[in-house]
Amino acid sequence: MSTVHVTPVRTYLLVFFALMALTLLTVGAAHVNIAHHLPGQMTDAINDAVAMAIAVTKATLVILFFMGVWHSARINKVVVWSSFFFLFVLFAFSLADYFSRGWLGVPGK
Amino acid sequence: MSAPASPAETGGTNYLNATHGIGSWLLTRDHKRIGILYLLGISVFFVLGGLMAVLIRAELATPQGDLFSSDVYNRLFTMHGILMIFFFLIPSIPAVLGNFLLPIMIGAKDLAFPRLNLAQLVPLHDRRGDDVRVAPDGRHRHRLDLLHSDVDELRPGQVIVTAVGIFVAGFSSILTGLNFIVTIHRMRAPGLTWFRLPLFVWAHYATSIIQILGTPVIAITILLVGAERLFHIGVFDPKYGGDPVLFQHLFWFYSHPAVYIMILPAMGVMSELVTAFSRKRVFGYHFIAFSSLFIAVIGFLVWGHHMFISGQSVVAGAIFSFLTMLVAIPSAVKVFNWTATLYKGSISLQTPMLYALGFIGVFLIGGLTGVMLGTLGINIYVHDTYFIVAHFHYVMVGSAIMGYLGGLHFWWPKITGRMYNEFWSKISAIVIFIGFNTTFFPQFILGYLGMPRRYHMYPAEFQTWNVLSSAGATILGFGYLMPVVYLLWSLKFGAKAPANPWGAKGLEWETSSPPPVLNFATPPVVTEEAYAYETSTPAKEVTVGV
Amino acid sequence: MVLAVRSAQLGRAKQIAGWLAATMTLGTVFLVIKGFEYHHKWVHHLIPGEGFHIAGTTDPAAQTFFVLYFCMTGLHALHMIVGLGLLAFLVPKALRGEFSAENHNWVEGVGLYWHFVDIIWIFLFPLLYLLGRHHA
Repeated sequence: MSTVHVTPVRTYLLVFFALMALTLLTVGAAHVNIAHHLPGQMTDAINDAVAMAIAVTKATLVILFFMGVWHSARINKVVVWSSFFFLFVLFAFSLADYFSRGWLGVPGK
Repeated sequence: MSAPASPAETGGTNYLNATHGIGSWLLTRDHKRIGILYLLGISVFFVLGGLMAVLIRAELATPQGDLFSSDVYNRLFTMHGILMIFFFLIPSIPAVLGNFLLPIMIGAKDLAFPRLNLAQLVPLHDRRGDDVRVAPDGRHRHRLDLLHSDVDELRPGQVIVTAVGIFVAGFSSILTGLNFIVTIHRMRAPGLTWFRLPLFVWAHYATSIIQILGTPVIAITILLVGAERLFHIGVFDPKYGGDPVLFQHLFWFYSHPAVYIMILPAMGVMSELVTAFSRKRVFGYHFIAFSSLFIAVIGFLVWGHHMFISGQSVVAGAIFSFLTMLVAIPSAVKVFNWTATLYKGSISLQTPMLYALGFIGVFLIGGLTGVMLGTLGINIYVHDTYFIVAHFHYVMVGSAIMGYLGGLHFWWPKITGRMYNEFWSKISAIVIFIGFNTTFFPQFILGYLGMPRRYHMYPAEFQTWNVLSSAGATILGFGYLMPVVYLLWSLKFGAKAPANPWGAKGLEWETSSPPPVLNFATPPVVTEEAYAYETSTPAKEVTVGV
Repeated sequence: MVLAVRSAQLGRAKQIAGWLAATMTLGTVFLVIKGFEYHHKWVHHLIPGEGFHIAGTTDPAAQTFFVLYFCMTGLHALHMIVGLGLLAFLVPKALRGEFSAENHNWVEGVGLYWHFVDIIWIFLFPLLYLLGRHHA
């Protein structure tokens, strides 16, 4: 507990306004069918992807600044990011099963 | 390093006789006493679980169902599994040896959160009560099914009680993990850098990571099961529009890593035993340390290999099969490093070492059959046969319990301050090894021949192997009874143990046996790496160099 | 919340209490809104179970959506209530001047917890309220 980094209020305000702006953006984006405005074959999933991308950005901002990870020791960073990595593994591997059903034409699989 | 504290320095008091009365034990914050409380608790459950195993093997000695109905048999092996895994194996090494030794090994007075440590003991014993009360009434076959959809005859109340028990116990698990990690991070003695930590500590660090990352997932799964049961909302049960495969994903995301909660601490014990009785620096310290972490990480990537014959997609199955093979790498790294440590060491075959050597052999068989099972094609052939039963008993009973017993014998003088009978302990180690292999090796053959698990009757042509297995179980039972006798005997009649009866390295051997309340008379300072056997006994170096 | 932690880091005891109270106020407002939302669902028979009814569809997926909606927002609200309890516990401590630049682990810890619950909402909001809007 030797040196604690004190973040200036300005940073917190900037992050706060960024979060608010991103919230407005994600609400706005949800009302637009993005796939219609892009060339080529795009599915509706693009809307979901955009919403999730914005959410990830916002979460990253909160973790880095409000939770102080930006200025914490390297070992803490490892702990934080590896936790999210395992959460990602849980989602990604489970979904991989659902998405890959029927690829090989085995009945019921 | 500081000299061993003689009883005179500590005024003859130690953690055992500092305070008296049952209250001073039940409300203690001393990590050593909490370890002892766990030891008492899990020993009772081990005996109960063992009795059930004896009954199961007695039933299987003949092809007919002459002892129990299929229903009673189902309850028997369900209870055997629940007791042995959740009440014995998972808490065995971390809660008994880990609680007792981890702070001493890193030169700390206690764990980082002593009150939390006591607090986690309570839910564990509490949920034991819950589950033991509930499970005998149920008709479920094992926990997976207990929470699964085909147990409608089970009254919802029972599932809820059991679920609450598991949920509460989850907190116990998370708190233990948190406590160990914080302790290892913040409370190491001066000079004890990360790469001077004993490998036992590294193994517990990896175990704690698994507990913290995995347990919340099973907690939320159980919460959803509870919601489904109470409000009939569809999450897992197809009747309400849910997906049972989703349950399996969530269940195994925790439960596969949970098998490493059982084996990793045993591997940590192994690293201590092999070096101490080879009088040799451990071979490839960094590799063993990181292989523990690697197992913890890979452990989270392979859960789908339990689901090869569920509705999981073939592609996902193939990927999980491939990832499962990766587990073999860190496991093999450990086995090779232990054998390399033995090589040209001056080996003394004392009781803990006998267990250690037994572990290596048994784990090798368990691990290699694990690779076979991880192969998609073979798995489908032997799925739900005795091959699986034999495999996980080799790893969990053979390896984890040998590690536990080896560790218990190794640190028994430290824990109790008494020596046990060396002759009888050696005999029992050998009997356990023989009994174990006689019990479970025939089951590999039975499984390969196609005998399915979980039935109380079987075709007559399987009887020879089953009789052999049941005979082995009898030997194994006697093997497990012997330590109970001579260890209890040692408490009263055993010789007083010196501070370091094995001439081993490590901070725990620097303090008196049993240790004083605050572990060390003077806070230790570490000046050398772990297992520095050659440096302190230069005479050995000549023989090693040949 | 972060401003409370910052005040704590700087050892400004009175400010800590102020910022904590502000956090509590905003948190309570959120929960009150949530309460109205639940009431609205109740009135419109959107609680999953026997009485579930939604106009224009018999698709079981609709019910599954509301199952997830209630599980996720309910758990989130539960965690917020715990958070508010923790904050309420901290305010008098802060007023008594128990926190200083050297000793404010409590504030720091509760701050981490509060923001973690925050992150959950960041994901829940688009998932439950926004996805699929562009069809309407």
